[in-house]
Amino acid sequence: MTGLGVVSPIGIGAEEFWRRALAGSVGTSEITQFDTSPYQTHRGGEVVAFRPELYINKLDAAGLSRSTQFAVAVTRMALEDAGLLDSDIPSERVGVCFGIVLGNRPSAERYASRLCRERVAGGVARAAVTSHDAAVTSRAPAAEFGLTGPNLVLPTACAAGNSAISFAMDAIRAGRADVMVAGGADELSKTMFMLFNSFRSMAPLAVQPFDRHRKGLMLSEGAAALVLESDEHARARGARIYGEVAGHGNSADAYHMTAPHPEGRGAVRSIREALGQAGLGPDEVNYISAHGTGTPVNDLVEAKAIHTVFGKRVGTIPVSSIKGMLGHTQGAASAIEAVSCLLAIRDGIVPPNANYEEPDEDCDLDVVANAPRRLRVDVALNNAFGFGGNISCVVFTKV
Amino acid sequence: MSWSRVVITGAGAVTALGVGKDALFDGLREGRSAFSFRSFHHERLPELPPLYGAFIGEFQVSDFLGRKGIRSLSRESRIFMCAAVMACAEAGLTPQVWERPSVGVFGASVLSGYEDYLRLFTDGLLDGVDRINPAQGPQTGFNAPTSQLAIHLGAEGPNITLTNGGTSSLDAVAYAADYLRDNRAKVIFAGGVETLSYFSAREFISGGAAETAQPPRPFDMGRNVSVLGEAGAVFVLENAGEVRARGGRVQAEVLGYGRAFEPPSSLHALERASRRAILEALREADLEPHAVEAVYASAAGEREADAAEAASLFEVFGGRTPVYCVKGAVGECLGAAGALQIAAALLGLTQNLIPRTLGFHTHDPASPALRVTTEPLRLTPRRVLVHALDVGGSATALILAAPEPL
Repeated sequence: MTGLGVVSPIGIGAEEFWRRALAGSVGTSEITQFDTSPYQTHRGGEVVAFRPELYINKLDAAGLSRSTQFAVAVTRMALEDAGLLDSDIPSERVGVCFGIVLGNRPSAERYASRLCRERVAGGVARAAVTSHDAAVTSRAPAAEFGLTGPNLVLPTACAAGNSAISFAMDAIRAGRADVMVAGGADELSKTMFMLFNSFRSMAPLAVQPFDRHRKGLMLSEGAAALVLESDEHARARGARIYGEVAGHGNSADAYHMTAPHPEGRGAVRSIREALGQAGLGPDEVNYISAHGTGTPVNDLVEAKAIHTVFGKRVGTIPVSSIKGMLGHTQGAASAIEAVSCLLAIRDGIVPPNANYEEPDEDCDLDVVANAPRRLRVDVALNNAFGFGGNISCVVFTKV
Repeated sequence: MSWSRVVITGAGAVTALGVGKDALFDGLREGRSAFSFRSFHHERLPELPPLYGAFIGEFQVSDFLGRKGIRSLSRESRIFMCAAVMACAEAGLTPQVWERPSVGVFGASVLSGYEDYLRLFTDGLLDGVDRINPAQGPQTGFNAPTSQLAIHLGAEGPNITLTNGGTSSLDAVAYAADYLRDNRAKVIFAGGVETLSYFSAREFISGGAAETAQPPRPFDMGRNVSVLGEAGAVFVLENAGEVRARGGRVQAEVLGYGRAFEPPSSLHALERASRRAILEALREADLEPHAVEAVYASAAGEREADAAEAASLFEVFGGRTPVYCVKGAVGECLGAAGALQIAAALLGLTQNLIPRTLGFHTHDPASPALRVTTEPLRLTPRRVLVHALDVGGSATALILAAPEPL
């Protein structure tokens, strides 16, 4: 992993994000993008002061959805960070893969609103005509930077960022690319607000992963991209290496569309598979970046899965979810958390689990409560669980 | 690295030509197409003009899925699941006894969840957000068909949904093959699904689709635009060693694939993407172009994309290799398109028939002369190439081989 880029509710740019994450900054607040008065809750995580023109030169930024603009922006940041912007690497050896929950689908809400308001037959706003094609989330960054290697979008719900990293890792290992940009991107949408409102699973005031009084999640937006390259490729060009993506695991709960398996069956298998591919045992993990949405059921099941895999070591492995600060950035979540894992490896410090007030005895973990913790991280596990029972776990190691 | 061989042991399809792979094969064999007009309605929003396309007719979903829980499924989830259940039966697999974590699902779609997403949104606007039924929610996601199938079959292995325009389902099969080669699963259900509905029809109509009322004409001089279609097609992919151990029947072997992207700035860019994907697939399969005995092309009757594909196919294969375009019969099925092309390839590999390309009559003098099938060919191809090209700039090529002793 040689390049990082982040757009998030707590900062734009990987270093700004990291500085504020370590400071425990909470980026959720009252939603300003749309009127939330019909809903039970009103808070979420918005990216503020994002200026697409700073990142998008070739393409028409106005023709891209907000999430696609994010994807192009983080790709630029990650390539620049890796020293690969305008490099002479053959473009067909560089691919792009983003994970999404919605991608550009929220763009269609504008014309659908107009239909509801006016109830007249008639044309559709031009922008809506392409809002059904989410492939643009990976194609736009590829077009902006002339990257013509493998290109794909993985809409594997909230596991999508990790899914994209896994795909990129596989593509490089199979020799299909030398370099991959992988990540996740999503924007806020009224539809998702309606959906989670109907589930009554949104927290009104604060996201409190693993806390006894946690109330739910908060929807949020953002993106992250990570540059992956083969070890030989990175070393040959003298690249700075943040860490290695050592293994991934992808299993389905095959249980329920919205509820996780009560024992975290898919999560347990995914964690074990990721560790197995990395050639590591549970004893070697130093840090767990939890999915930790802050919903009562997710955090309970995730804690159970961690107990099942790590057994007696549970009390000695620091665990934190950065969703207390960011909210749930949907398809971007595990990509941003992957950035967090790599910076934790680099700096020997892990980010806090914000808004943690009272331990939940049913989530008996070593939660990194409210303040970052100095710690040598050689092996970090990044968990991501999605609706439909889509689960993807990735292991990062120090090089 | 030692790779496992990956084979296809089952296929299931729901298309405008009927329910089941046999209905599709019969239609292709008999040279039938299935284009008609269909009106899409929303109870409270403005009417649309009818859309011309290849639409799936009504069928008894419960015959395949049972009755439990099917009411809450989206149409695309039902179709994808029915196709998979048929594929499972053809492969001779029994979900009750398989090792659940070794079975995965890889699904592709462009529009999956789109109708449910916008229905939920408009219901919220029209009725108030507190009236939204939470049961609507799970079908709004792209991954609903894939996840619902995993739940239905108890497939606890790898589960991937991907979207990549018209190459999506070839990408799903290709990625599944990678997982099997890497011994990450023993069985993977891979394919694609696409359905049309009020909101997607509205978008396509506003984009000009209502002006089309003629069947598509792939590679033909008089071609103009593609015609949309609905379909679900799913294959059972297995590790060859597992198939041998259980005495399963192989329909085809996946030899390799290639994938490329070019920003779609020009016809030449699409041609480049197409050629690169094909050459990469040949390289991976360790084949020379002359070893490919039939090509299952992407052509849907689009002026530019067909021209780009014709140029790249001619450059790689010359003008003697038979080329068949299934979209002349079943339309442009987007995320399911590549899966239908694979199904057509199985007709060649297992029943020695390459159908005639419906809609192709006159060679386009502006393009090199491919050998597009104008009559059914009785051939026994050993190696075939399936090629998908999306006007958004993506190309994927997959090479399949006739079954050989494992």
